Amino acid sequence: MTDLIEARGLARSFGSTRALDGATFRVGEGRIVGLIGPNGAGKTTALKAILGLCRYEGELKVLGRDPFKERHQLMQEVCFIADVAVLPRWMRVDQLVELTAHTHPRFRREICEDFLKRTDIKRNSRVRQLSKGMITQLHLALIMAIDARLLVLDEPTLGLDILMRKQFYDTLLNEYFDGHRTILVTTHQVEEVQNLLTDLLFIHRGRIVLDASMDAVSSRFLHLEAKPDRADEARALGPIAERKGLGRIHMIFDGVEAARLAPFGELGTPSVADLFVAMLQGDRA
Amino acid sequence: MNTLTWLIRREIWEHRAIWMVPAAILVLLLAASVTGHIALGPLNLMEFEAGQRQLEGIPAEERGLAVAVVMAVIIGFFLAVMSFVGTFYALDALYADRRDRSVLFWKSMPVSDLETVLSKLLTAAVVIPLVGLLAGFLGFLVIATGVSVKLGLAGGSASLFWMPGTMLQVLATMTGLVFTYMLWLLPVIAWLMLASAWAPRAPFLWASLPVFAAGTLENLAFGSERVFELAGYRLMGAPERLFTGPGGDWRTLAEGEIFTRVFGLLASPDMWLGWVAAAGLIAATIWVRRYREESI
Repeated sequence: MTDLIEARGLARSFGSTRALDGATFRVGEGRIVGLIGPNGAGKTTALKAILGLCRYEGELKVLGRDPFKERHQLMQEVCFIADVAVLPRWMRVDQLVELTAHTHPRFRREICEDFLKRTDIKRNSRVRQLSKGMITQLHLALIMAIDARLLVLDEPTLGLDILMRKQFYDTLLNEYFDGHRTILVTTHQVEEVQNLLTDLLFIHRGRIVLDASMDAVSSRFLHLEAKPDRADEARALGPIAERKGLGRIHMIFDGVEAARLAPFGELGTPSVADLFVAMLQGDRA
Repeated sequence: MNTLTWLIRREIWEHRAIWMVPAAILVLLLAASVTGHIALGPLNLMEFEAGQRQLEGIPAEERGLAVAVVMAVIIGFFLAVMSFVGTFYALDALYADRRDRSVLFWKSMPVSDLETVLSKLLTAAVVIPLVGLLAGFLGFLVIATGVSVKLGLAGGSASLFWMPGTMLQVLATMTGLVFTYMLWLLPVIAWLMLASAWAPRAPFLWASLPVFAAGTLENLAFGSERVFELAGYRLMGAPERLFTGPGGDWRTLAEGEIFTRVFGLLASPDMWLGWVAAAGLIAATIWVRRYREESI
């Protein structure tokens, strides 16, 4: 498996704040990777570095290129939807399609047209006349028609209702993802993407605190809903996080065998959100 | 090359003033021409009878001159309007997409910053003046048609005003002059575009304040006005050197003299120095466009 992204010791400071503090990670071809982190963890900076939109220290190769120096060549094979990269509001839909068709060598117009036909978007509307959901659909229509190797999504569904969000990811998974393309996504709505992801990257204070495939995550981490009277015994095995909820005690274990935990309560795979909180607490300690 | 053409088309889509302003003026001209409210100064056509006698009474040579002057005035008017459109365009060209936050979308396209900046420079230095020339010529045709119809209705010769040879000659000469002037203005356009790429907001102030500040400081410190003189020369130097100076002003220029002056200007060190400055400013603009990180 080839690595599409290789970052080693990626760093970037804004004044005295270290937005990225030596992040090291790889993203392999054909993976759907979730880059998860709290606000200010360095997610956006990392994505901007990958897209050649900001300076960085350390080593970074995207599709074998230096993204900062070779942004426009890179953009032939890399696409992104970012909440901050809004479509030009003055532009008409047909102008946008026309221009992309003539400036992007890997854009296949018929795919875009097909996709647009299934929406309520009118060709002669200006972007500013479209609803938030339609704008995202339009952007998705453009992206889907570009034969890219890497798609970067930064909070792509921000401000959309739950139906739209679900539709967005369904389309992405069913129509875009083909096993060869690679997607790197950040979002706060972790629950909505966790079934989509093949890999997890947790970022906290500019560092990668977890870099694992979902398979590895489910075999390494366990969630235990402990019986109250066995909680102390479970606690002795060193959970990385513990919380109380609805009269029950939830614990997350890292690398403890299931057989040893089974007597103390119900075992399961932790949700990405729970795991994330657990890892962050562990990091703080 | 194809990409560049489409990028220029994009500029015209976005900055609709480039064609809407001259189109609006043309419509007004047409309306005024139909209702007969057009006054042609040099021919005094408000007093139509007199104008007609005037036009018929004068020999073809002088009539040619009259046609040329009317044409130059009308095209000149459109060019003056387009110079405002062009100034605002250059100041907005690399600022508008940062203001509406679509810049990152544009940067998601496989288009280099060199191509982007070049497409905007060509729009300012070639497309906008061309639109001015074309619209001016159309404006002249509107008025010429109006005059001809009136002449015809009054029983005169409707063709008096139609001198295709003169018209083509004037159009060609003006095109040459305009682009000579644009070549002279390249550093000014580049400066405006740099301000447009750089300014966090209000690119107009970023373009003008440094010049005013430097000029004022110089004046306070040394009592001289070199900065203002330089700025004035870079703005108006070309027309000054083409239309005034030894050998007479534009009214008395000998035939062919204007071409000698154009070639003289194109070959002058000042013109070339301007290009060197423009190249530096354009390089800086591309650099800023590329490396300026938009705050989020």
